[in-house]
Amino acid sequence: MHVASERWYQWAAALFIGLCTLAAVFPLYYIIVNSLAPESELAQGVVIIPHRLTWAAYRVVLTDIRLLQALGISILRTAIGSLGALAFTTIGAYVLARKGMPGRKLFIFMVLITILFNGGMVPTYLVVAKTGLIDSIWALIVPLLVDSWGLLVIKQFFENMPESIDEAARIDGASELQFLLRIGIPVAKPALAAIGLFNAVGHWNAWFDAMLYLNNPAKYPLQLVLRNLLQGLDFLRQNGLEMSGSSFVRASGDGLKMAIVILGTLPILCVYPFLQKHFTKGIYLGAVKG
Amino acid sequence: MPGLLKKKLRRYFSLYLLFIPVLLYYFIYRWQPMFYAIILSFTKFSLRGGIFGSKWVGFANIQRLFASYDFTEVLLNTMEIALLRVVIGFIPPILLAILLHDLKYRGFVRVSQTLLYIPHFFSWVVVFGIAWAFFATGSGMVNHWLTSVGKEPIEFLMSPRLFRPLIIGTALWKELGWGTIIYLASLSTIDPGLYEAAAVDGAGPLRRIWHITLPELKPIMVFILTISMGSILYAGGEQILLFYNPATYGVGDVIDTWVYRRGLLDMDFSLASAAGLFQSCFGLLFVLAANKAARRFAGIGLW
Amino acid sequence: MRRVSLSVCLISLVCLLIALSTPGMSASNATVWYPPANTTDYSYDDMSQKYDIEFFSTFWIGRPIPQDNLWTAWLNKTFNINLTFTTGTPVGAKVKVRGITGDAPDIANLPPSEISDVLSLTSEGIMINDWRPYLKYLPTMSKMRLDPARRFVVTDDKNQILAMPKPTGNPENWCWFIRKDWLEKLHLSMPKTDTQLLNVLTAFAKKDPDGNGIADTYGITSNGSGLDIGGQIEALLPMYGDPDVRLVKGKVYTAQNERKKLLQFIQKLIKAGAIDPDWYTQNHDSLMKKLASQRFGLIYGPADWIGGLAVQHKLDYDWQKKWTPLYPVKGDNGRSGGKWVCQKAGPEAFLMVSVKAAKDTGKMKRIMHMLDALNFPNEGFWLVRYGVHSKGSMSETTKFMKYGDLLYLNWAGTIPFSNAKDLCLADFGNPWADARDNVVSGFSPEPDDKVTVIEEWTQTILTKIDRYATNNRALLPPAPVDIVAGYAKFRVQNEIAFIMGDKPWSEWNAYQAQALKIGYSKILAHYQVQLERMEKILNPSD
Repeated sequence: MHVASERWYQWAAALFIGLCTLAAVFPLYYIIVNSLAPESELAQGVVIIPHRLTWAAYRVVLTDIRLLQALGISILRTAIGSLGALAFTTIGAYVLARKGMPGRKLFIFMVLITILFNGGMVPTYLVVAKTGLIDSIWALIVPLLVDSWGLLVIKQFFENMPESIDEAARIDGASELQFLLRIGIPVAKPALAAIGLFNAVGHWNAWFDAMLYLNNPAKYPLQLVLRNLLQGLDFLRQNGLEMSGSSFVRASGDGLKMAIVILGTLPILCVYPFLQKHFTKGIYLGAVKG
Repeated sequence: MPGLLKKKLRRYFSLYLLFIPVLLYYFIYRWQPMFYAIILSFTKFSLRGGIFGSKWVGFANIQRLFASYDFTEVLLNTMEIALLRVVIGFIPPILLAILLHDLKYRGFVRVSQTLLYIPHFFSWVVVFGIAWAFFATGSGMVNHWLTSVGKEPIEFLMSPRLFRPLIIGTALWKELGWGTIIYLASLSTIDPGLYEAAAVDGAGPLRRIWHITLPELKPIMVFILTISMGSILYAGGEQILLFYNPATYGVGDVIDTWVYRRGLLDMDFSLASAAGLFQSCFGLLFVLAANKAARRFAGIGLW
Repeated sequence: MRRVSLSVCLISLVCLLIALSTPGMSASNATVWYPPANTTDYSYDDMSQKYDIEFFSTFWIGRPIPQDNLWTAWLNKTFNINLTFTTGTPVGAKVKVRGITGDAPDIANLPPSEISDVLSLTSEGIMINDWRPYLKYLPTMSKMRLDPARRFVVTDDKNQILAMPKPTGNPENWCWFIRKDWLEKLHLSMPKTDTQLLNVLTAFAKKDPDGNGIADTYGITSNGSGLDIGGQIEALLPMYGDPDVRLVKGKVYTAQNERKKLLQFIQKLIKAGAIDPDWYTQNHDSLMKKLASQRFGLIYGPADWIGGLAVQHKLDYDWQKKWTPLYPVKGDNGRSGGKWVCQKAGPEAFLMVSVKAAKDTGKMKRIMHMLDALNFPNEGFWLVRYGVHSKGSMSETTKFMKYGDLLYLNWAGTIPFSNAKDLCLADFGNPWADARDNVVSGFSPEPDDKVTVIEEWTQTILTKIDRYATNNRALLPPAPVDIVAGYAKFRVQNEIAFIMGDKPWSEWNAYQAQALKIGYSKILAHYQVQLERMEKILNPSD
């Protein structure tokens, strides 16, 4: 049925969606363009379509030791942090999914409480200090080793496994660990993928825990270095791009800042198209589980 | 008999064994801080006494909290900003979700969705970088344009008037696309037969939305709304910490930022812990109340 | 006639000869200079055991020290230790956190702004609270001219020395410097009043003084780091009067009236577009970078900043000559102020050692040995401060040139740490040994006759520029944190609100009244007590 208003509606919808999409991506485009525009153009005014493109900003960024160090730290914490979180969370979810285990209800309650209630910034900081993690990269990993919300989601997955598999395994004499590894994990794979990815994104994007727990700027992850730079609290040493003998290239460093912003989100942008379905599935899981 | 019991115990024993690292984590990094929070909130912390050896002062810290000239303002800021987030952020994702669901050009919709979700994955630092590129006084796009047409530049990041719109606006920009997912999930469960019936009746799109789509979405809408109210004491400290400065303390300083400065920069542990405890306790109450309300009005709750 | 003209010729000839033979900075007079090897006796330390030593220091720029730097290697080898540095303020807070976990760092170097932490760390038993038993291990440091700085870390009743203050080097040659060439280009005369200064700074911003066709210059900037108006701008406060916290007729006076006028001046700067938009949020590093990029025409700092920058960024020697010291500007359109500020010799930092380290006598001896050996005039001072020792330089380019009695440092300067071998430990911030910068007259980019104008500027500043002596602000122990913290936020919040026009000036008195209510009155009472105590220390009646 093509009612006239339906066609208007379709056009209006397309327009609105288009505008929203444009609003979502234009800022990203603007940043990318500004990171690729030569400083001379940037000094002239706003650049939306540059006349020339140059890799200069990225060259400086990717040859700066401190940025490379920060990049390495970010990669390290994301990899170890999310894999570790996935491992711990999955184990926890599995254990709590086993009905009949004494104390199960108590532990589930304990997990639930940590979602709704937390110790706060200062007490957590003191615990991290007491466990000797201050100024260590492990401070970025250990306090995040169990994702309570993710635990409940994965637990749901395990609980939905049919009883028959359980019976069969028990008769075969499989130990809990074997059961988890051979049967549980493959079954829960979609949930694991989603939770793992969410944790990875969280780790990559985190900066506040680094600011709190790390004193040595050499250990700062990329996001924290970027934040310091943007807030004028830090200034990269720029080797060669600006100071050339006695002639000054009047670089404000804006192109450089934009390049680091892009660097701060590049891995996510790269893997995102391939993993989009995992991410969105994660939300479905979370929403529907109730 | 004994064999079966032994097997059962062995089974559960290995489960407990597996669970130990997780249990340790919870004890050390989740429960211990809660314990500290209670102790620190009711004692006057001294370096010599440490956490456990400091003098007990009862409610003195909480009194000091509310006697301090700015905590009440900070509390109000927190609730106001949290409320604004909910109110402003409520309708747009619903609207967008309905349009995405209804649009016939599915290819266009799929591409749009992919692009719309992207801002959700940016860190707040990156979002701040983007906001800076647009709104900074010296080099931002908006101010460049303003000065080129002869107008005065606007100090976005130093203006108390514009601070909350900036915060809420960037938050909306970041989460709009992602926020449609849960509604799209609900929309996909609507029986297409209802739409067909409506089309037969000659109902145009607006009537269809009003009479079918929205009522079907009502439970999830009410759920989202009431659950959001539960986090009224959490106003997005991470974002605000990046965007604020003393010029905007008056409108932007919230509990989390206040606790960060007073607790970790000035190292007034007792006071900041008391504030944190206050936030957690009342936050919990609000969530419980919100959940109850959601169950009552929407039929679904968090648990 | 002829006889007169002959004597005139002879006299002129003699004068000419005298003039030519005056020692000047010519290549023939310059010699490379190395410090003498020191002979201080440290035999109390048998140097047998290797110790792990942890050192927290301000290193005021807060840059991380690269792992493989030459200096740590030298220190490790010379003192048989394994040294780790943690840098960046706040130091006291970091030490406290470690103290809570029972693991305080062995040595800590706190800036004077953290004097309250010095007091609390010593009273809470985390750092040693009496250096007197160790003075016998510190032959050099115990002879240093530490008064009156030391008096602030000595307890009233017991005369304990709570921390070892490090005297400031070169405290007295800070001044405002202005771009002479920009003034000339824009046909402006040296500003003498605040109104004239405003006009000059506006012109710097609007009239393209560097002639490159882009509007990218400003008159002035600051380094608030998003927390405060910043030390740069604060240095204009003396335009309106003595900015120091002091006793006026027996009562404490905190220069709030002068402060109001400064804030009004900043507002005018903003309205005129004369100030860099990043002034409030950027930090010191960012400011220095922009300075080297020729972005502003007015800067406040020590005489060797500009020279040092020139060397650091390999700028033309002539670039320094474009600047000149600015004589004091009078505020209120010429009716008040008229002096700049002289930061009198105060402690640059406070050295503290942990109680934990003190329990190990062998380790303590090593620590004292090291700290003492790195103080002027021992060889360690020259090495850690400048990278030069009795046998040569640790890098290829850093060396001293002596012209007559004057010592100039050919300083490679701070460059990206990919060239770590050219770095000097002092490049990471203030030297943690003894800062005796005034043993070196200035910096020379070339090892021959091109020297900088620093010496000339220092002389001008010391002899020709009128300055208020501000001792108190640096040394006054701040009031306890629970009083100060709330007031601090209130103050910075309101000050920027007034500046930005979000609060009208008519509310200033109401703001002052409210400040008293929320805790400022307690702070004033605290200052009263402290200032009276300082009076007694500095002017003992007995």
